[in-house]
Amino acid sequence: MNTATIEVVSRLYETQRQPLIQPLRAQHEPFKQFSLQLQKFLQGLHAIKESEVVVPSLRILRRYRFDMCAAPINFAHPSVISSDILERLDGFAEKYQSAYPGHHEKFIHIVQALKTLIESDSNPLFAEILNHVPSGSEFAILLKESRHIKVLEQILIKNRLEQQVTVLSQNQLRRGNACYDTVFVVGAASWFPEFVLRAPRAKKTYVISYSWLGGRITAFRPAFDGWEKLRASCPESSSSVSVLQSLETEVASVNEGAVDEISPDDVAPQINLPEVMTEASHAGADQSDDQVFVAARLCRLEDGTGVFVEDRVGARSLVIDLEEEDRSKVKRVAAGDLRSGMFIILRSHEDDEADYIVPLANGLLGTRANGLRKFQSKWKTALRRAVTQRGTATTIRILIEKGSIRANEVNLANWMSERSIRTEDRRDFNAIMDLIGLLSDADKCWALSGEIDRAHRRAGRLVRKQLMRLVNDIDLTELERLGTMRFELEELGARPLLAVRVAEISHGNINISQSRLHRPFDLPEVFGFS
Amino acid sequence: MNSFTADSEGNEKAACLTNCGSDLQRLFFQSDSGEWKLLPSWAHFFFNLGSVLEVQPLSKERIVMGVALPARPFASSLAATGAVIASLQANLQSDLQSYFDELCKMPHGTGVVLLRNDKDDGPRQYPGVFAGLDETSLTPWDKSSPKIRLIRIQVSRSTMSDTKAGGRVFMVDAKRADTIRVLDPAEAISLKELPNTPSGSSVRSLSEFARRITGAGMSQYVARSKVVCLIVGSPGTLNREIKEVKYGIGSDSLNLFEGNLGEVLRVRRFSKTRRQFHSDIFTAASKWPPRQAALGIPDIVIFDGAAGFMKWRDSFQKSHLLIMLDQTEPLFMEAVQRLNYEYSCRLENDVLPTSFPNPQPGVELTFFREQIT
Repeated sequence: MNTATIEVVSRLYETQRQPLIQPLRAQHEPFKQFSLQLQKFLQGLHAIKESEVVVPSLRILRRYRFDMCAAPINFAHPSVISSDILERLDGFAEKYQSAYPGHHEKFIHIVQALKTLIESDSNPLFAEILNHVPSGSEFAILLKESRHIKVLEQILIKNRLEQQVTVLSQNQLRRGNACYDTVFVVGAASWFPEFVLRAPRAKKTYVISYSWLGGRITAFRPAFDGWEKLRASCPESSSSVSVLQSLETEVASVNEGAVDEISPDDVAPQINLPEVMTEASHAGADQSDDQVFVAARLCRLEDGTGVFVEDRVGARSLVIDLEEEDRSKVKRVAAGDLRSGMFIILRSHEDDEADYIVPLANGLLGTRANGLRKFQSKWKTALRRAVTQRGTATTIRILIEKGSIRANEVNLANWMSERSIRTEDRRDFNAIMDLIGLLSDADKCWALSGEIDRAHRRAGRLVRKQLMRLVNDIDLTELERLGTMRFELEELGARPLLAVRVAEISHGNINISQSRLHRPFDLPEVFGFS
Repeated sequence: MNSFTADSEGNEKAACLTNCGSDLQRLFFQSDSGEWKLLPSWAHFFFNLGSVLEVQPLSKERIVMGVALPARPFASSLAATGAVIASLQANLQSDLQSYFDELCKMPHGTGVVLLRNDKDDGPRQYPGVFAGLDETSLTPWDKSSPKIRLIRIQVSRSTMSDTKAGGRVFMVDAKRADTIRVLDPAEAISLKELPNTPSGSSVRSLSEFARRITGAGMSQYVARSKVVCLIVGSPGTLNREIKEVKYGIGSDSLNLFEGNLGEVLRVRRFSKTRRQFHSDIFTAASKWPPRQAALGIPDIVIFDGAAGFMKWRDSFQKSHLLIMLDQTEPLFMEAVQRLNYEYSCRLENDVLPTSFPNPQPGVELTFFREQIT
C-alpha cells in the first residue's frame, strides 16, 4: 500500500521546490447570514447554554454548519439534513417559545434561514473549486472527515467527474507518497495536520473555505531550532514553501471579534474525552454482585463513536497497524500501547455481543461450553460476593494467609473480572478456592479453567491468523481512506468484525462497568462557545 | 564541498564524492517504467550526508543531526550507503609500498588473514601467520637484476617429521600488500593452531557495481566485518529499498553495471554467513534493547523514523546520530521537540563540517555536537 519508488519520491521532493499554496474564498450570502446569526445567537445564550433545549437544538445547527464548511456538498444533501431533522428543529422552536421566549424569535429566524438554504440546494464550495480547475484536468479534494468521502463521491458521479477527481482523507495523504498537480483542502487550514501545508503533496494546494470562516494560512516556523542559522551557512540551499498572499488582501483580516468572521475553532466540533470519561465513571452506579468494574481507557474512533478498552496488565486489544509490515500488521496491544492511526477490531455493530473471542471459544469448546461457563461464572460470582462482604483489604489479607502469592488490589480486580479466565499461579487459585469453600475441588476447577483458557487462546490465534490473511490479501486502500472496514470471518464461523481507526486515546483511565468494554457508543460533540 | 549545479536541461550533477575513483555523477536508477535515469539531487544529498558524517572524528564528542523530510523512503538507506562508501575509501591503502614496508617489520608469528583469488574456488580468506621475508628476482639468471622482497605467509602446519619444515606458504609482493590484514591479538591464531590442510573460507564476491561505486577492491571489502552504520527502522521496508531498487553505474544509461545498495551496504542481518558486513539493521519495534556485544559500536546510527528514535535514542551513546523524521508521521513533533531540547544543551562548537551538503527543498536540518559519555 505504501510502496514508494525513487521516481515517486522524486516527484514529492520536486513538489517542495516552489509549491503554490493559496487560499480561496467561496461567497454565499445566505449561508453567511445563517452562520453569523447562529453565532450571534450562541453568544447571547449565557446562562441557558447548557439547558436541555439549547444543547441538542444547537448541536443540530452547528453540526450542519460544520458539515457544510468541511465538505463541498449541497445544502440539502440528505446525509446532512432531512425532513426528520427539520421537524425536530420545529419541535425545539416550540420549546424555546415556552421555556425561553426571549430567544424564540431569533431561533425561528435561524431555522428559517436554514430552510432557505435547503431550498436553494446550491453547492458554492464545489462551484468555487470548479472555477479554478481547467476543464478536463485532474485534481484531488482533501476532506477533514472521512465520513464525507462517500457523499462527495456520489456528487462527483452525478456530475460525471469521478474519473477526474480523487477524494482524499488526511490519513491517505499522510501514508501515501502520491503527488498531485492540484489539491483542494476544504475548510480551515487549522483543521488539518501541519504537514498538509508544510510538506505539500501537490504543486498547487488551494485551501478553500467560506468567506466568513476565519483563519489564515501563515508561514510556518521552522520545526528545528537553529535551522535558520544552519541554512544561512549553506547559501545555496533552496527555497521553502511559498504562500501567495495576494488573495488574502481581498478578504477581511482575521481579528478576534471581527464582526463578519467566525473562528474555525468555533465551527469545528470537538470531543472532550476527559469529560466523557468523568460522566461514564459516574454512570453505572447499580453495583450488584454481578457488576464488575475494571480500569479502562477511552478511545475516540474516526466514525465519531467512542469505545472503552480494558487497561490492565495482560489485557490486550486486537488491532491492525498499517505502519507495521507483513505479519506484524495484525497484533494485540495493551491499552497503553494503542496509538492513533491503529485500527481497533470490534464486533460489527449489528451484533449484541461485544466480545468476538467468547463466541468463537464457545464454538471450540462445543457441548462443554455451557457447563464450563457456568462453572466460571459461579466461582467468580462467589469471589465477588466474598469481596463485597469482607471488603477488598480483608479479602486480600485472607487470600495471602491461605497461600496466595500475588493477592493485591489490581490482581484481585482481575480475578473477579469475567475477562480474566484464571490466575497465573496455582497457589493464588487455590487460595481463592479455599476462600469460597471449593478447596476440595481445586484440582478439578483448575483443570476446567485451563480448558476455557486454552479455548480462548486458540480462538484468539485463529482470529488473528484469519485476519492477517485477509489484511495481507485484500486492498486496504478503502480502510485507509474511510477509516473503517468490515471483515468477514466466515471460515471460522465467526461473525463479521469491524476495524475502525482510533483517532484519539485518553491519557488516563477510569473504572467502568466491564459490560461497557468494546461497545461503541456515540460521543457527544462539543462546540466551542465564543 | 559538494555543490550542485543545474545544466540547461535542469538535471543536476553531483561532484565526485572523493578522489578515490568513485564517481557518483554517473549513478542511475531504474524508473518505474524500466528506463534508466540519473539519480536525482535529493538522493545525492543523502549519500553525501552519510559520507560527511562518517568521516567526522568520534572521540570526546559526537554529532547529532536531525533531518525533517517530506517523505521517509530511501533517506536512511542512501545515507547509510554514503557512510559505508566513505568508510571503505578511508581505509584504502593509497600507498601500498608504505603498507608493505610496515608489514615487513611484523614480528614472526603475527596473525594475519590473507585474501587470495583461487582459480577454481574464487576469492577465499586464509588465516595465517607471518613467516618472515624472502627475496627473489624476476630474472634469476641475471645476478645484477634487482631483488624483490616478498612476505611469507604460512597458512598451514607442517606435516613433516622435521618440525622445522614449514607448512604451506604463500608469497606476497608489495603490489598485493592490501590482501594482507593484520589481526587483532584477540582474533589471531598461532602457528600450532593453523590447519593441516588450508582450505580457507569463502568470501562474498564483490560485484562490479559495488567495486565501481566505492572505488574499493575485494581486499577492502573483506578487510573487516564491522558495523560502520546501523539503521534503526523497519527491516522489511529497508530491505525492499536496499535490495529491490536497481541502480546502475556507468558512462551512460546504455553501458551500466547494475546492482543494488545491498551490495555496498552488506547488511549483517541479511547475510547468510554473518561475515564481511559493513552495516546492520535494528528493528525499531523490537521489544528488547540492542545487544551491543553483537553490534559493536557503529560509527553512525541512523534512526529511520521518529518511533525508533524516541524508543532507542539512549541506547547508542558513542555513535554519531542521524535522525530521519518524516513530517507526516504521528510522532514527528514529539521527536522534533526532543531534538530541540537536546539542541539547547549542545556544545559550543556548532561549525558545520567541511563538504556539508546543501539542504534540499522541503528538508530542514538540525546539527549539534554533544559530549560522549
